[in-house]
Amino acid sequence: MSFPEVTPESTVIASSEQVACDVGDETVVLNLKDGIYYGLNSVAASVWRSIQQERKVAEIRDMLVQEYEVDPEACMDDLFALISQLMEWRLVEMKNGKK
Amino acid sequence: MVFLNARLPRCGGLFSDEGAEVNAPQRRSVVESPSGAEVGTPLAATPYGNKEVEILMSCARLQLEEKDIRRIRQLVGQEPDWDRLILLAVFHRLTAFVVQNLTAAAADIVPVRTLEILRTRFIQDGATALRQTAELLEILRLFREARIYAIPYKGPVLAAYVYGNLAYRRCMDLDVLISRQDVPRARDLLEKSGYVPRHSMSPAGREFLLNHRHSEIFERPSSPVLELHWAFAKQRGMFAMGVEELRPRLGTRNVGGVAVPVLNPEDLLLVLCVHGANHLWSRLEWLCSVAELLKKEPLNWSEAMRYATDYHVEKYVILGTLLAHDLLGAPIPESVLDRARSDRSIVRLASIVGQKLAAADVEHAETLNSVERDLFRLRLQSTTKDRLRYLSHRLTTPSREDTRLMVPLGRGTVPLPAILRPFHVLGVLIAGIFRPADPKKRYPQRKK
Repeated sequence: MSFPEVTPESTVIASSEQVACDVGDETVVLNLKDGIYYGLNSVAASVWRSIQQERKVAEIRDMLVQEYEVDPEACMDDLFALISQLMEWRLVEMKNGKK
Repeated sequence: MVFLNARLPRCGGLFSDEGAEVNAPQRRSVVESPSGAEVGTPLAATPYGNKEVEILMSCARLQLEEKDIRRIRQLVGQEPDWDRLILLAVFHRLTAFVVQNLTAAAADIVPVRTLEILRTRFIQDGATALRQTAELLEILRLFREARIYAIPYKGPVLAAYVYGNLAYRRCMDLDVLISRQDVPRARDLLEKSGYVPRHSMSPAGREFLLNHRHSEIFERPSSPVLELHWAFAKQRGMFAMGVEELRPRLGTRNVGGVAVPVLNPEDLLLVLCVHGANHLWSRLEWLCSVAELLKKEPLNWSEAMRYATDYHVEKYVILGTLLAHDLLGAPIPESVLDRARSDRSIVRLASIVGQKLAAADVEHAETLNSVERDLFRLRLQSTTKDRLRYLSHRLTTPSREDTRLMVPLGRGTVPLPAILRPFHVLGVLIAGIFRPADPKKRYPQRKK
Protein backbone atom coordinates (compact mmCIF):
# COMPACT_ATOMS: atom_id res chain seq x y z
CA MET A 1 0.00 0.00 0.00
CA SER A 2 1.37 3.42 -0.88
CA PHE A 3 1.22 6.35 1.43
CA PRO A 4 1.13 10.08 0.67
CA GLU A 5 4.52 11.71 0.49
CA VAL A 6 5.53 13.66 3.54
CA THR A 7 6.21 17.34 3.05
CA PRO A 8 7.19 20.10 5.47
CA GLU A 9 3.62 21.35 5.35
CA SER A 10 2.12 17.98 6.18
CA THR A 11 0.34 17.70 9.49
CA VAL A 12 0.81 14.58 11.54
CA ILE A 13 -0.74 13.24 14.71
CA ALA A 14 -0.30 10.00 16.63
CA SER A 15 -2.97 7.46 15.87
CA SER A 16 -5.64 7.11 18.54
CA GLU A 17 -5.55 3.32 18.33
CA GLN A 18 -2.37 2.82 20.23
CA VAL A 19 -1.08 2.98 23.77
CA ALA A 20 2.45 3.94 24.65
CA CYS A 21 4.74 4.33 27.59
CA ASP A 22 8.10 5.94 28.12
CA VAL A 23 10.86 3.72 29.41
CA GLY A 24 13.70 6.01 30.21
CA ASP A 25 14.58 8.05 27.14
CA GLU A 26 12.82 5.65 24.84
CA THR A 27 9.20 4.87 24.11
CA VAL A 28 7.35 1.62 23.54
CA VAL A 29 4.19 1.81 21.48
CA LEU A 30 1.59 -0.93 21.17
CA ASN A 31 -0.56 -0.79 18.07
CA LEU A 32 -3.98 -1.89 19.31
CA LYS A 33 -5.05 -3.00 15.84
CA ASP A 34 -2.30 -5.44 15.04
CA GLY A 35 -1.00 -6.09 18.56
CA ILE A 36 2.60 -5.33 17.62
CA TYR A 37 4.95 -3.43 19.89
CA TYR A 38 7.32 -0.84 18.47
CA GLY A 39 10.34 0.63 20.17
CA LEU A 40 11.38 4.21 19.51
CA ASN A 41 14.82 5.44 20.42
CA SER A 42 15.30 8.67 22.34
CA VAL A 43 15.12 11.05 19.40
CA ALA A 44 12.17 9.28 17.78
CA ALA A 45 10.55 9.31 21.23
CA SER A 46 10.88 13.11 21.30
CA VAL A 47 9.11 13.25 17.97
CA TRP A 48 6.46 10.84 19.24
CA ARG A 49 5.73 12.99 22.26
CA SER A 50 5.41 16.07 20.10
CA ILE A 51 2.83 14.47 17.80
CA GLN A 52 0.38 13.62 20.54
CA GLN A 53 -1.21 16.78 19.20
CA GLU A 54 -1.35 17.78 15.53
CA ARG A 55 1.92 19.23 14.35
CA LYS A 56 3.34 20.35 11.06
CA VAL A 57 6.41 18.44 10.04
CA ALA A 58 8.32 21.72 9.75
CA GLU A 59 7.42 22.49 13.39
CA ILE A 60 8.80 19.14 14.50
CA ARG A 61 12.01 19.78 12.58
CA ASP A 62 12.38 23.17 14.26
CA MET A 63 11.88 21.53 17.67
CA LEU A 64 14.59 18.96 16.94
CA VAL A 65 17.01 21.55 15.62
CA GLN A 66 16.41 23.55 18.78
CA GLU A 67 17.08 20.54 20.99
CA TYR A 68 19.88 18.81 19.11
CA GLU A 69 22.94 20.02 17.26
CA VAL A 70 21.83 18.83 13.86
CA ASP A 71 21.77 20.25 10.37
CA PRO A 72 18.21 21.33 9.52
CA GLU A 73 18.25 19.73 6.07
CA ALA A 74 19.58 16.40 7.33
CA CYS A 75 17.06 16.57 10.13
CA MET A 76 14.21 17.07 7.66
CA ASP A 77 15.33 14.08 5.59
CA ASP A 78 15.45 11.89 8.69
CA LEU A 79 12.09 13.17 9.80
CA PHE A 80 10.49 12.33 6.45
CA ALA A 81 11.86 8.80 6.77
CA LEU A 82 10.66 8.42 10.35
CA ILE A 83 7.15 9.66 9.66
CA SER A 84 6.87 7.45 6.59
CA GLN A 85 7.87 4.49 8.72
CA LEU A 86 5.37 5.41 11.46
CA MET A 87 2.66 5.68 8.80
CA GLU A 88 3.56 2.26 7.48
CA TRP A 89 3.18 0.92 11.00
CA ARG A 90 -0.13 2.79 11.26
CA LEU A 91 1.01 4.63 14.33
CA VAL A 92 0.41 8.10 12.88
CA GLU A 93 -2.11 9.81 10.66
CA MET A 94 -1.12 12.48 8.21
CA LYS A 95 -2.92 15.30 6.49
CA ASN A 96 -1.89 17.40 3.54
CA GLY A 97 0.65 14.89 2.30
CA LYS A 98 1.62 15.01 -1.35
CA LYS A 99 -0.19 12.27 -3.26
CA MET B 1 1.52 -10.37 19.98
CA VAL B 2 5.05 -9.84 18.90
CA PHE B 3 7.50 -7.52 20.52
CA LEU B 4 9.38 -5.96 17.66
CA ASN B 5 12.07 -3.74 18.98
CA ALA B 6 12.02 -1.76 15.80
CA ARG B 7 14.45 0.98 16.49
CA LEU B 8 14.47 2.27 12.95
CA PRO B 9 18.13 1.40 12.32
CA ARG B 10 17.62 1.71 8.59
CA CYS B 11 16.63 5.34 8.83
CA GLY B 12 20.14 6.28 9.73
CA GLY B 13 21.31 9.62 10.94
CA LEU B 14 19.35 11.28 13.64
CA PHE B 15 17.13 8.38 14.56
CA SER B 16 19.56 5.54 14.14
CA ASP B 17 21.11 3.42 16.83
CA GLU B 18 23.81 2.33 14.45
CA GLY B 19 26.82 4.49 14.97
CA ALA B 20 24.91 6.20 17.74
CA GLU B 21 28.01 6.39 19.87
CA VAL B 22 29.85 8.25 17.14
CA ASN B 23 27.12 10.32 15.61
CA ALA B 24 24.70 10.83 18.49
CA PRO B 25 23.44 14.39 18.34
CA GLN B 26 24.28 16.36 21.43
CA ARG B 27 21.55 17.97 23.46
CA ARG B 28 22.06 21.71 23.80
CA SER B 29 21.29 21.84 27.53
CA VAL B 30 22.75 19.61 30.21
CA VAL B 31 21.41 19.26 33.72
CA GLU B 32 24.22 19.03 36.22
CA SER B 33 23.64 17.10 39.40
CA PRO B 34 25.16 18.21 42.68
CA SER B 35 28.68 17.06 43.29
CA GLY B 36 27.97 15.06 46.38
CA ALA B 37 26.11 14.53 49.61
CA GLU B 38 26.22 16.86 52.57
CA VAL B 39 27.07 15.03 55.74
CA GLY B 40 25.29 16.08 58.86
CA THR B 41 22.11 17.37 57.22
CA PRO B 42 18.81 16.46 58.83
CA LEU B 43 18.43 13.85 56.16
CA ALA B 44 21.47 12.01 57.41
CA ALA B 45 19.37 10.74 60.30
CA THR B 46 17.38 7.79 59.05
CA PRO B 47 14.52 5.97 60.72
CA TYR B 48 15.19 2.81 58.79
CA GLY B 49 18.79 1.88 59.49
CA ASN B 50 18.79 0.14 56.14
CA LYS B 51 20.59 1.70 53.16
CA GLU B 52 18.58 -0.16 50.55
CA VAL B 53 15.24 0.85 52.07
CA GLU B 54 16.47 4.43 52.34
CA ILE B 55 17.40 4.47 48.66
CA LEU B 56 14.01 3.03 47.81
CA MET B 57 12.23 5.70 49.85
CA SER B 58 14.30 8.47 48.29
CA CYS B 59 13.54 7.20 44.81
CA ALA B 60 9.81 6.65 45.37
CA ARG B 61 8.69 9.89 43.76
CA LEU B 62 8.20 11.31 40.29
CA GLN B 63 10.17 14.49 40.86
CA LEU B 64 13.48 14.56 42.68
CA GLU B 65 14.38 17.65 44.64
CA GLU B 66 17.95 18.71 45.33
CA LYS B 67 17.81 17.17 48.78
CA ASP B 68 16.64 13.85 47.33
CA ILE B 69 19.51 13.83 44.84
CA ARG B 70 22.03 14.58 47.61
CA ARG B 71 20.55 11.89 49.79
CA ILE B 72 20.60 9.29 47.01
CA ARG B 73 24.22 10.05 46.19
CA GLN B 74 25.14 9.85 49.86
CA LEU B 75 23.49 6.44 50.22
CA VAL B 76 24.91 5.11 46.96
CA GLY B 77 28.34 6.14 48.16
CA GLN B 78 27.92 3.86 51.18
CA GLU B 79 28.00 0.76 48.95
CA PRO B 80 24.56 -0.72 49.48
CA ASP B 81 23.69 -4.31 48.67
CA TRP B 82 22.64 -3.78 45.05
CA ASP B 83 21.03 -7.18 44.66
CA ARG B 84 18.96 -6.47 47.74
CA LEU B 85 17.95 -3.11 46.34
CA ILE B 86 16.84 -4.72 43.07
CA LEU B 87 14.81 -7.27 45.04
CA LEU B 88 13.17 -4.53 47.06
CA ALA B 89 12.45 -2.40 44.01
CA VAL B 90 10.76 -5.31 42.26
CA PHE B 91 8.85 -6.39 45.37
CA HIS B 92 7.59 -2.89 46.07
CA ARG B 93 6.80 -2.42 42.33
CA LEU B 94 9.00 0.65 42.15
CA THR B 95 11.40 -0.52 39.45
CA ALA B 96 10.60 2.42 37.18
CA PHE B 97 11.12 4.96 39.95
CA VAL B 98 14.36 3.41 41.13
CA VAL B 99 15.99 3.09 37.74
CA GLN B 100 14.88 6.53 36.58
CA ASN B 101 15.89 8.31 39.74
CA LEU B 102 19.16 6.45 40.26
CA THR B 103 20.02 7.32 36.67
CA ALA B 104 19.09 10.95 37.16
CA ALA B 105 20.83 11.35 40.50
CA ALA B 106 23.80 9.02 40.48
CA ALA B 107 24.36 7.30 37.13
CA ASP B 108 28.08 7.98 37.48
CA ILE B 109 28.42 5.97 40.69
CA VAL B 110 25.74 3.27 40.49
CA PRO B 111 27.05 0.01 39.03
CA VAL B 112 26.17 -0.35 35.36
CA ARG B 113 24.97 -3.91 35.97
CA THR B 114 22.41 -2.71 38.51
CA LEU B 115 21.01 -0.09 36.16
CA GLU B 116 20.89 -2.58 33.29
CA ILE B 117 18.98 -5.15 35.34
CA LEU B 118 16.51 -2.54 36.52
CA ARG B 119 16.15 -1.05 33.08
CA THR B 120 15.43 -4.44 31.50
CA ARG B 121 12.76 -5.00 34.10
CA PHE B 122 11.37 -1.52 33.47
CA ILE B 123 11.01 -2.24 29.76
CA GLN B 124 9.32 -5.58 30.51
CA ASP B 125 6.94 -3.84 32.89
CA GLY B 126 6.19 -1.26 30.23
CA ALA B 127 5.36 -3.90 27.63
CA THR B 128 3.20 -5.74 30.17
CA ALA B 129 1.41 -2.53 31.07
CA LEU B 130 0.61 -1.85 27.43
CA ARG B 131 -0.76 -5.34 26.99
CA GLN B 132 -2.87 -4.99 30.12
CA THR B 133 -4.20 -1.70 28.85
CA ALA B 134 -5.16 -3.28 25.56
CA GLU B 135 -6.99 -6.05 27.42
CA LEU B 136 -8.75 -3.55 29.64
CA LEU B 137 -9.95 -1.60 26.61
CA GLU B 138 -11.24 -4.81 25.07
CA ILE B 139 -13.16 -5.70 28.24
CA LEU B 140 -14.61 -2.20 28.44
CA ARG B 141 -15.66 -2.44 24.80
CA LEU B 142 -17.45 -5.75 25.47
CA PHE B 143 -19.27 -4.24 28.42
CA ARG B 144 -20.09 -1.05 26.54
CA GLU B 145 -21.65 -2.97 23.67
CA ALA B 146 -23.72 -4.92 26.17
CA ARG B 147 -24.72 -1.66 27.89
CA ILE B 148 -22.98 -2.61 31.10
CA TYR B 149 -21.60 0.55 32.67
CA ALA B 150 -18.11 -0.24 33.89
CA ILE B 151 -15.60 1.85 35.80
CA PRO B 152 -11.98 0.72 35.62
CA TYR B 153 -9.89 1.77 38.58
CA LYS B 154 -6.34 1.24 39.80
CA GLY B 155 -4.30 -0.57 37.15
CA PRO B 156 -3.38 1.21 33.93
CA VAL B 157 -5.92 3.98 34.41
CA LEU B 158 -4.35 4.93 37.73
CA ALA B 159 -0.85 4.79 36.24
CA ALA B 160 -1.84 7.09 33.41
CA TYR B 161 -3.47 9.57 35.79
CA VAL B 162 -1.05 9.88 38.70
CA TYR B 163 2.20 8.99 36.95
CA GLY B 164 1.47 10.05 33.37
CA ASN B 165 3.16 6.83 32.25
CA LEU B 166 1.68 3.34 32.03
CA ALA B 167 5.09 1.77 32.62
CA TYR B 168 5.37 3.18 36.12
CA ARG B 169 2.80 0.86 37.62
CA ARG B 170 3.15 -2.89 37.59
CA CYS B 171 -0.32 -4.29 38.02
CA MET B 172 -1.14 -7.84 38.95
CA ASP B 173 -4.71 -7.66 37.74
CA LEU B 174 -7.34 -5.42 36.19
CA ASP B 175 -10.07 -4.03 38.43
CA VAL B 176 -13.44 -3.07 37.00
CA LEU B 177 -16.48 -1.95 38.99
CA ILE B 178 -20.01 -2.61 37.70
CA SER B 179 -23.50 -2.59 39.18
CA ARG B 180 -24.51 -5.63 41.18
CA GLN B 181 -27.50 -6.11 38.89
CA ASP B 182 -25.20 -6.39 35.84
CA VAL B 183 -22.98 -9.08 37.35
CA PRO B 184 -24.82 -12.12 35.87
CA ARG B 185 -24.69 -10.65 32.35
CA ALA B 186 -21.08 -9.61 32.80
CA ARG B 187 -20.18 -13.11 33.91
CA ASP B 188 -21.80 -14.57 30.81
CA LEU B 189 -19.99 -12.12 28.55
CA LEU B 190 -16.64 -12.86 30.11
CA GLU B 191 -17.13 -16.60 29.91
CA LYS B 192 -18.09 -16.33 26.24
CA SER B 193 -14.85 -14.39 25.72
CA GLY B 194 -12.82 -17.23 27.15
CA TYR B 195 -12.54 -16.09 30.76
CA VAL B 196 -13.20 -18.64 33.48
CA PRO B 197 -13.90 -17.93 37.14
CA ARG B 198 -10.89 -18.69 39.31
CA HIS B 199 -13.17 -20.41 41.83
CA SER B 200 -15.71 -22.60 40.12
CA MET B 201 -18.95 -22.84 42.02
CA SER B 202 -22.57 -23.81 41.65
CA PRO B 203 -25.26 -21.27 40.74
CA ALA B 204 -26.20 -21.22 44.43
CA GLY B 205 -22.61 -20.49 45.31
CA ARG B 206 -22.48 -17.63 42.81
CA GLU B 207 -25.66 -16.18 44.24
CA PHE B 208 -24.21 -16.39 47.72
CA LEU B 209 -21.01 -14.75 46.49
CA LEU B 210 -22.95 -11.91 44.92
CA ASN B 211 -24.82 -11.23 48.14
CA HIS B 212 -21.98 -11.62 50.61
CA ARG B 213 -18.76 -10.62 48.92
CA HIS B 214 -17.60 -7.79 46.69
CA SER B 215 -15.82 -9.26 43.69
CA GLU B 216 -15.12 -12.30 41.57
CA ILE B 217 -11.87 -13.18 39.81
CA PHE B 218 -11.71 -14.31 36.20
CA GLU B 219 -8.77 -15.72 34.29
CA ARG B 220 -7.91 -16.41 30.69
CA PRO B 221 -4.69 -17.81 29.22
CA SER B 222 -2.22 -15.11 28.21
CA SER B 223 -4.45 -12.40 29.64
CA PRO B 224 -4.15 -10.45 32.85
CA VAL B 225 -6.37 -11.53 35.72
CA LEU B 226 -9.63 -9.62 35.84
CA GLU B 227 -11.24 -8.81 39.17
CA LEU B 228 -14.86 -7.91 38.58
CA HIS B 229 -16.19 -5.79 41.45
CA TRP B 230 -19.69 -4.84 42.44
CA ALA B 231 -18.49 -3.17 45.63
CA PHE B 232 -15.15 -1.87 46.87
CA ALA B 233 -14.99 -3.68 50.18
CA LYS B 234 -15.97 -6.95 51.78
CA GLN B 235 -17.76 -5.82 54.88
CA ARG B 236 -21.44 -5.27 54.58
CA GLY B 237 -22.39 -1.66 54.99
CA MET B 238 -18.85 -0.38 54.76
CA PHE B 239 -17.59 1.61 51.84
CA ALA B 240 -20.91 1.05 50.13
CA MET B 241 -20.09 3.19 47.10
CA GLY B 242 -21.65 1.76 43.99
CA VAL B 243 -21.66 2.65 40.32
CA GLU B 244 -24.92 4.59 40.56
CA GLU B 245 -23.62 6.76 43.37
CA LEU B 246 -20.24 7.35 41.72
CA ARG B 247 -21.53 8.04 38.25
CA PRO B 248 -22.44 11.73 38.69
CA ARG B 249 -18.93 12.43 40.01
CA LEU B 250 -16.92 10.51 37.43
CA GLY B 251 -14.47 12.08 35.04
CA THR B 252 -13.28 10.70 31.72
CA ARG B 253 -9.83 10.03 30.37
CA ASN B 254 -8.72 9.22 26.87
CA VAL B 255 -6.97 5.86 26.82
CA GLY B 256 -6.07 4.36 23.47
CA GLY B 257 -8.58 6.60 21.72
CA VAL B 258 -11.42 5.59 24.05
CA ALA B 259 -13.08 7.89 26.58
CA VAL B 260 -12.88 5.83 29.77
CA PRO B 261 -14.85 6.75 32.90
CA VAL B 262 -12.55 7.38 35.85
CA LEU B 263 -13.01 8.08 39.55
CA ASN B 264 -12.62 11.65 40.68
CA PRO B 265 -9.57 12.39 42.85
CA GLU B 266 -11.50 12.39 46.14
CA ASP B 267 -13.13 9.02 45.50
CA LEU B 268 -9.84 7.66 44.21
CA LEU B 269 -8.10 8.69 47.43
CA LEU B 270 -10.60 6.68 49.44
CA VAL B 271 -10.26 3.63 47.21
CA LEU B 272 -6.47 3.69 47.34
CA CYS B 273 -6.33 4.19 51.12
CA VAL B 274 -8.78 1.37 51.79
CA HIS B 275 -6.98 -0.97 49.41
CA GLY B 276 -3.55 -0.16 50.82
CA ALA B 277 -4.63 -0.52 54.43
CA ASN B 278 -6.42 -3.82 53.79
CA HIS B 279 -3.07 -5.09 52.54
CA LEU B 280 -1.24 -3.50 55.45
CA TRP B 281 0.53 -1.08 53.06
CA SER B 282 2.95 -3.89 52.28
CA ARG B 283 3.86 -2.53 48.81
CA LEU B 284 5.40 0.89 48.75
CA GLU B 285 4.01 1.63 45.26
CA TRP B 286 0.51 1.75 46.72
CA LEU B 287 1.65 4.55 49.00
CA CYS B 288 3.49 6.20 46.15
CA SER B 289 0.31 6.44 44.12
CA VAL B 290 -1.44 8.13 47.05
CA ALA B 291 1.46 10.56 47.45
CA GLU B 292 1.57 11.41 43.75
CA LEU B 293 -2.21 11.85 43.67
CA LEU B 294 -1.94 14.34 46.52
CA LYS B 295 0.97 16.14 44.85
CA LYS B 296 -0.74 16.23 41.48
CA GLU B 297 -3.55 18.65 42.11
CA PRO B 298 -5.34 20.24 45.03
CA LEU B 299 -7.86 17.88 46.50
CA ASN B 300 -11.23 18.92 47.83
CA TRP B 301 -10.32 17.74 51.31
CA SER B 302 -13.60 18.65 52.97
CA GLU B 303 -15.43 16.57 50.37
CA ALA B 304 -12.94 13.71 50.65
CA MET B 305 -13.19 13.58 54.44
CA ARG B 306 -16.98 13.85 54.29
CA TYR B 307 -17.12 10.85 51.96
CA ALA B 308 -14.65 9.03 54.20
CA THR B 309 -16.87 9.60 57.22
CA ASP B 310 -20.06 8.72 55.36
CA TYR B 311 -18.52 5.47 54.12
CA HIS B 312 -16.95 4.55 57.47
CA VAL B 313 -13.40 4.68 56.13
CA GLU B 314 -12.16 7.85 57.81
CA LYS B 315 -9.30 6.14 59.63
CA TYR B 316 -8.21 4.37 56.47
CA VAL B 317 -7.84 7.72 54.73
CA ILE B 318 -6.13 9.39 57.67
CA LEU B 319 -3.62 6.55 57.98
CA GLY B 320 -2.90 6.49 54.25
CA THR B 321 -2.44 10.22 53.96
CA LEU B 322 -0.30 10.35 57.11
CA LEU B 323 2.02 7.69 55.68
CA ALA B 324 2.14 9.45 52.31
CA HIS B 325 3.05 12.69 54.08
CA ASP B 326 5.62 11.32 56.51
CA LEU B 327 7.32 8.83 54.21
CA LEU B 328 6.99 10.43 50.79
CA GLY B 329 6.46 14.12 51.40
CA ALA B 330 2.87 14.36 50.18
CA PRO B 331 1.08 17.60 51.06
CA ILE B 332 -1.85 17.23 53.43
CA PRO B 333 -3.76 19.88 55.39
CA GLU B 334 -2.67 20.65 58.94
CA SER B 335 -6.11 19.65 60.19
CA VAL B 336 -5.71 16.13 58.78
CA LEU B 337 -2.17 15.89 60.11
CA ASP B 338 -3.27 17.01 63.56
CA ARG B 339 -6.14 14.54 63.49
CA ALA B 340 -3.74 11.75 62.55
CA ARG B 341 -1.11 12.56 65.14
CA SER B 342 -3.65 12.87 67.95
CA ASP B 343 -5.12 9.41 67.30
CA ARG B 344 -3.11 6.78 69.15
CA SER B 345 -4.43 3.95 67.04
CA ILE B 346 -3.42 5.72 63.83
CA VAL B 347 0.04 6.45 65.21
CA ARG B 348 0.38 2.82 66.26
CA LEU B 349 -0.67 1.53 62.84
CA ALA B 350 1.69 3.93 61.08
CA SER B 351 4.45 2.66 63.31
CA ILE B 352 3.65 -0.94 62.35
CA VAL B 353 3.84 -0.06 58.67
CA GLY B 354 7.12 1.77 59.20
CA GLN B 355 8.60 -1.17 61.07
CA LYS B 356 7.64 -3.55 58.29
CA LEU B 357 9.24 -1.30 55.71
CA ALA B 358 12.39 -0.99 57.77
CA ALA B 359 12.56 -4.75 58.24
CA ALA B 360 12.49 -5.11 54.44
CA ASP B 361 11.39 -8.69 54.95
CA VAL B 362 9.92 -9.17 51.51
CA GLU B 363 9.44 -12.87 52.02
CA HIS B 364 6.92 -12.25 54.76
CA ALA B 365 5.83 -8.75 53.96
CA GLU B 366 2.11 -9.43 53.97
CA THR B 367 2.33 -11.98 56.70
CA LEU B 368 1.11 -11.25 60.13
CA ASN B 369 -0.50 -13.88 62.19
CA SER B 370 -4.28 -13.63 62.09
CA VAL B 371 -4.50 -11.86 65.42
CA GLU B 372 -2.13 -9.10 64.34
CA ARG B 373 -3.81 -8.70 60.95
CA ASP B 374 -7.26 -8.53 62.44
CA LEU B 375 -6.12 -6.11 65.12
CA PHE B 376 -4.65 -3.91 62.39
CA ARG B 377 -7.92 -3.86 60.52
CA LEU B 378 -9.98 -3.57 63.69
CA ARG B 379 -8.05 -0.45 64.71
CA LEU B 380 -9.07 1.11 61.40
CA GLN B 381 -12.77 0.94 62.21
CA SER B 382 -14.11 4.33 63.19
CA THR B 383 -16.85 3.44 65.67
CA THR B 384 -17.82 0.61 67.98
CA LYS B 385 -20.57 -0.33 65.56
CA ASP B 386 -18.01 -0.55 62.75
CA ARG B 387 -15.78 -2.74 64.88
CA LEU B 388 -18.66 -5.07 65.68
CA ARG B 389 -19.56 -5.17 62.00
CA TYR B 390 -16.00 -6.07 61.11
CA LEU B 391 -15.92 -8.88 63.67
CA SER B 392 -19.29 -10.15 62.49
CA HIS B 393 -18.00 -10.19 58.94
CA ARG B 394 -14.86 -12.06 59.92
CA LEU B 395 -16.79 -14.65 61.85
CA THR B 396 -19.60 -15.30 59.42
CA THR B 397 -18.67 -14.43 55.84
CA PRO B 398 -17.16 -17.30 53.89
CA SER B 399 -14.27 -16.88 51.54
CA ARG B 400 -14.66 -17.40 47.80
CA GLU B 401 -13.21 -20.87 48.18
CA ASP B 402 -15.83 -21.73 50.78
CA THR B 403 -18.66 -21.09 48.34
CA ARG B 404 -17.77 -24.11 46.29
CA LEU B 405 -19.59 -26.44 48.62
CA MET B 406 -23.16 -25.32 49.20
CA VAL B 407 -25.62 -27.14 51.43
CA PRO B 408 -29.29 -26.55 52.01
CA LEU B 409 -30.17 -24.62 55.16
CA GLY B 410 -33.67 -23.40 55.76
CA ARG B 411 -35.16 -22.07 52.56
CA GLY B 412 -31.91 -21.51 50.84
CA THR B 413 -28.43 -22.86 50.63
CA VAL B 414 -25.28 -21.75 52.36
CA PRO B 415 -21.67 -22.74 51.97
CA LEU B 416 -20.93 -25.64 54.27
CA PRO B 417 -17.75 -24.03 55.59
CA ALA B 418 -19.81 -20.94 56.51
CA ILE B 419 -21.57 -22.96 59.20
CA LEU B 420 -18.26 -23.94 60.67
CA ARG B 421 -16.62 -20.61 60.01
CA PRO B 422 -17.14 -18.94 63.37
CA PHE B 423 -15.49 -21.89 65.09
CA HIS B 424 -12.71 -21.97 62.54
CA VAL B 425 -11.99 -18.27 62.90
CA LEU B 426 -12.11 -18.41 66.69
CA GLY B 427 -9.76 -21.37 66.62
CA VAL B 428 -7.28 -19.50 64.43
CA LEU B 429 -7.48 -16.44 66.66
CA ILE B 430 -6.97 -18.46 69.82
CA ALA B 431 -4.05 -20.35 68.30
CA GLY B 432 -2.57 -17.04 67.24
CA ILE B 433 -2.72 -15.73 70.77
CA PHE B 434 -1.13 -18.76 72.40
CA ARG B 435 1.30 -19.86 69.70
CA PRO B 436 4.92 -18.90 70.40
CA ALA B 437 5.80 -15.91 68.31
CA ASP B 438 7.43 -16.82 65.03
CA PRO B 439 10.41 -14.52 64.69
CA LYS B 440 10.07 -14.53 60.92
CA LYS B 441 6.61 -13.13 61.19
CA ARG B 442 7.61 -10.29 63.48
CA TYR B 443 9.39 -7.20 62.32
CA PRO B 444 13.06 -8.17 62.60
CA GLN B 445 15.47 -5.33 62.62
CA ARG B 446 18.16 -6.18 60.12
CA LYS B 447 21.63 -5.97 61.50
CA LYS B 448 23.79 -3.50 59.67
